[in-house]
Formats: sequence, structure tokens, C-alpha cells
Amino acid sequence: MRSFTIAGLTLLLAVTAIWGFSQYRQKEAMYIEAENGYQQAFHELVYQIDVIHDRTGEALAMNSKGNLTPALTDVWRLTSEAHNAISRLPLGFMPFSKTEEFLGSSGDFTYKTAVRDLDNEPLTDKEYNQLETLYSQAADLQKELRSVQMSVLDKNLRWTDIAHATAKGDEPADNTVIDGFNTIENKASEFSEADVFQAGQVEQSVSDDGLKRLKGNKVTKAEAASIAKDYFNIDAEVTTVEKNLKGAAIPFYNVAVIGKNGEEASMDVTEKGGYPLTFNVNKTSGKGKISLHDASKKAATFLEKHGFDNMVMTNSAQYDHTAVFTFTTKQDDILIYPESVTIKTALDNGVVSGLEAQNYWKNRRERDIESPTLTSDEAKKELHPKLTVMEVQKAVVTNDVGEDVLCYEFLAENGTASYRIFINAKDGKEERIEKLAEAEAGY
Amino acid sequence: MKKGKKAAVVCVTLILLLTAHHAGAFSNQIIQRGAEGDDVIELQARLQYTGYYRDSIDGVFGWSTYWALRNFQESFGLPVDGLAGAATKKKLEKASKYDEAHVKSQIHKGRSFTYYGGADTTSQSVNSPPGFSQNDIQLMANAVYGESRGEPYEGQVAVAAVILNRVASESFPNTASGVIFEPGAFTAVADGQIWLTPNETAKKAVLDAINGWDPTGEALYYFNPDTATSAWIWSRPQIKKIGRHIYCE
Repeated sequence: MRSFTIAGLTLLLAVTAIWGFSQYRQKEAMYIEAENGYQQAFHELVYQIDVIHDRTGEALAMNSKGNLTPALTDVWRLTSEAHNAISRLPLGFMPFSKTEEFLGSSGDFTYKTAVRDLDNEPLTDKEYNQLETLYSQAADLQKELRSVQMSVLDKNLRWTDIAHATAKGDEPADNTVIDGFNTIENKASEFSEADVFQAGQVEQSVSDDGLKRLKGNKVTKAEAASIAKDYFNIDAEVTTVEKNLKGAAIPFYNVAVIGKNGEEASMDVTEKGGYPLTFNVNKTSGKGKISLHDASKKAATFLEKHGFDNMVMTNSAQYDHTAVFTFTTKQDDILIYPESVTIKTALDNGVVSGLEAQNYWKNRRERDIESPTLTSDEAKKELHPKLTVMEVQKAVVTNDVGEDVLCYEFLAENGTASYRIFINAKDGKEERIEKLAEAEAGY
Repeated sequence: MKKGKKAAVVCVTLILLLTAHHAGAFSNQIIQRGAEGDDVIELQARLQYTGYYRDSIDGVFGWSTYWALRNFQESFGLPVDGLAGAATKKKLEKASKYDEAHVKSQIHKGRSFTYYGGADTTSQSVNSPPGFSQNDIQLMANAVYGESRGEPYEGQVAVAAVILNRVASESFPNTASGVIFEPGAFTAVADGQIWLTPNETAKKAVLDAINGWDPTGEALYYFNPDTATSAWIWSRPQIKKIGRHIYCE
């Protein structure tokens, strides 16, 4: 009997051991797979920086414009690939944003110079200097990355180990990689301080100056709460009123309420003047009872009531039982697109349930708009001849260097798709072209 | 007097009902661009019947429906405003036929079929914000749900807004999927919670963020002050606290 038990237990032990070993093997396999992905991304990154360095060096020595364009295009492509490789590395534990910014701005620079007709408009001295700087900066990055690569290969360092150690808050056993990347990041911050590419850089967001210009008296916490309740349009109990934290563009209050029917709502109100920045009510809209058109009228009335003057609807869309509209300032007969708000209306009762006005306040200002040099017919000649123009109006848009320009806005179609095209009213330049989205089929 | 008034009201209502019935299935709403639903299906079918609309009948009042309607209004001497109001609907009803049951059953089956004028129906479409597909929204909803399902609604919109702010920033990948799956960027991705099935609230929050709502004031990072281990994250300029998260530049 006893020997049976022993035999049984031994068998069990053996099975467990085999099971455990196979689990271990599987885990190892997964681990290696993940590690290989990281290694691939890392070595690709080093290679791409190598080539960026080589290609910029070649471009500097090039005399023929016919070769320069392909070289610059190649650099542009490589910056994007290097950026992509970085985003696949487990660098979440450390700041690496300056290096990515460097790649982004070099990409912008090479793109702009590559797409230009260099026969008519050769590289300026300044751009040549920028290219030289790019060359030397790429050399710095290359050197650092190569030394990290060397130690990774030499000491058999594993990215998965580094990522795990740092995720737990421990110091990894070998700091070479982290130190190396920190050095790179510091180098890259020096590059961005030098602002070599500033001229070509695209501003990602509009400046906060407009917010700082807002006028009015300071409102108190209690006043902010009552302002918010006025916007919410629901019977609500104020739960919290919080001040902003130090890094915000301007001081504001964040008011949060819970409605009688359990709706959560929150709003940011500026401290100076009590202007609405953004508010949103989380409300489950029942079956739609009012039409999109009626809802748009309610939204317009709401905006008028709260001091948003001279605004017209420029877009409307229905998502289930909620309507979302864009309203834009109209000055005389000109639409001012930078001064737009988004507003949400529930289609069951027509109550406004959200407003986003931060960009509106940032861009809001008195505008002295010059009259257009071109007539709309002259501007129309700049369009592709196969387009049929359906609507035309004057509009101000922000172009790709961040300036507000007066344009003719054409809505046109070519039989298969619709387009919105902005032609500069001064010089006929095609400032922007958008293919207008159609609805997506349900699957 | 009172009786007379009542009778008049009944009479008017009856006339309205009769004319409404006679006029067809359109409801009383003025249909404008961006609308969805049965009235749009009828509008598209009727515009197709008259030859003005050549795309598929999908139940969403998009640009091609808008141009068709404007062209119809122009040829029929109506004010060209792109709105299907009472006068336009009446003209349309006179000029076309609409077999509601047939069209709807075909849409329901998701079957391609020729109605009038050689165009197809597709299964009913939905509005989606420009530049984002339904699948993008789904993926973002997964991330938002995994990251912030216990947070107030504002906090969920905020997480979606941070993803979008990162897409727009040069320091991050240029797609929503690239941002979400960047190793180490989101804990929900690292621990697999992103694959939980998101609820409707998370989807609504994503849609709000895509439509422009940004309760964070253009934040690129957020962290939970109780659990954050990185010293670096504390060095970022902080904009606002929503729920348990601090949002920073």
C-alpha cells in the first residue's frame, strides 16, 4: 500500500516537474520574442541615425540639385522611421522627448526643402547652415547611440530586464543603456535650445496669449459655481470647486456637479471674468425627439444668450441621440474659422450638454481684415478644372506657418468626392485642401 | 364659443393629419446635413428616384446627399438652402415614389440592390468624425476604459484628449494606435487591461474628445500621485487635477 502511495506521489511530482518545465520554456520563448522586438527597434534606430548622418553629409557636398532632392527626401523618410523605432522601445521609464522633437523638426526641415523646386529656389545660406548643423547633430547622436549599442552587444544587455527593473522602481543591474540615453537626451535638449530649425517649425497649438487678454473682474469660488450651474441647465448639486494647478495657462476653477438624475457634469470657468472654457455633461440621451435642425437652433440661442456674438453654424452631425455642432464667428460676410466653438445638444429634450471654447478664446480678437486682392472668379481659376464648385464664401483660416489669412473657401465636388479648398484671396495660393468625409458604413 | 374653438382645432388637426398622411412618410422635421435616420433614408431614396442622388442609400445626410438636394432645389425653383423643409419635401414627394418597406428591408439585409437609377443601398451607415474610423474609436475606447474606468466622466474624456494631444505632438507617434501601444506609455497596455470590453461611457468620452473637447488644457502626460514612481513626472508643469489623476504638460 505504502509503495503505491510513494509511486503515485513520485508520478505526480514528475508530472508537475514536466509541466513546470514546459511553462518555463513557454515563458522564456515569449520573453525572447519580446526582447527580439526591442532589439530590432534599437538596432534599426542606430542604423537609421547612421544613414541620416551619411546622407546629410553627402547632401552638403552636392553640387547638382538633381541629387540634392533625393538625398533630402531620404533624410526625411529616415527621420520618420527613426521616430517610429524610438516609439517601439520600452523607454517609458525615461524622458526621451527632446530627441523625438529633434527628429520631428529635422524631418520638417528636410521635407520643406525637398519638396521645393530647388532649380528656382536653391537652398539659402541659412538653410545650408541648418543642414550643416543637422549633420553635426546627427554625428553626436550617432556617436552616443553607437557606444550604447556597443555595450548592449558586449555585455549582452536585455531591454526587457531594463524595462522590468525600472518599472519596479529599482536601479537596473547595468546602467549603461539608461546613462547612454540620458546623454543623448541632454544633447538633444541643447539642440532644441539652439533653435536651429525654428523658422521651419510648425506650431502645434495656438498660443495662450488670447486667454491672457481676457478682461473682467476676478470671480470667487462661489460665483464660479453659480456660473457653471447656469450653463449646465440641470438641477444639480455642486460637489467640488477646485483651482487649477500651477502649470495652467491662466487661472481657472474646475466645477464638478452631480445632477438630480445622476448626471455628472464639470466645467472650467476662468478666474478673471468668469468665461466658460469647456463644459461637458455626461447624460444618457433617450430616443431622439427633436430634429437636428431644431437642435441647432437651440444651440444658437444658447450661444447668443451666453455672449457669443455673431456666430453661425458651420458643421453639424448626429451621433445616435446627440447632436454636435461647430459654430464660427462671422464678421461681415467673412467666416473666422480660428474663432470656432463646438457645442453638443441632447436630441431627447434639446438641452445643450457641452461646449468647448478654449480655442475660441485663444484666437478671439478684434480683426482688421484687408479687402481681398482677387475676386472670387479669379481665385476659382486656381482650382483643378475637373472640380465643380458648389459653394463659395470668404473665410479666414490659419495656414501652415501659423498666420491667419483671408481666403476664398470653395466647396466643390468631382463626381466621386467632395472637397473644401481654401485659396488665398491675396495671391491665389492654395492654402489648404480637405477631402470631406462621408459617413462610414456600419459593419 | 369654446365648442367652436375645439371643433376648429380638431378640424385643423384632421386636415394636417390627412395631408401629412397623403404627403408620405416624412416626419415634420426639417432635415439638415449631418442627420441620420428614417427621414434621411427616404430623402436619399426620393432624390435617387428623381436622378439627383447617385450614391448608396445609407441613412446618413452627408455631402453627396447635400449636393443632390441643392441641385434638386435649384431645378425645382425652390430656395437653395440644402435643408429639406416642408416645401422641399412636398416637391420631392410629388416628383418621386418611395416604397418604404422595400428599401428598408434591403437596408436591413445589408444587401446591395438596385432601387431606382442604378445605385445601391448599403447597410445603414453612421457618422464618424473626420479622420477617425469606427475602429480607431473602438481602440481608443479600449485604452480609455482600461486606464480610467473608475474615474469621473471628465477624467475619461481627459485620457482620450491626452492620447489625441500626443498624436498631434512631434514628440510622440503620429497615430492613435502608435501612441497607445508605445511601450511603457500606458499601464493598461502593459498589464493587458486594455483588452477588457469598454462600456458606452468610454466610447462617448472618446467621441467627445475627437469632436474637440479637451478638459486637460492640452496636457501630454497624466499620473496618479499616489502610485507614481518616476521623479521626472513630478517635474512637469501641472495643469489640473481630475479625479485621481494629475494632468501635466
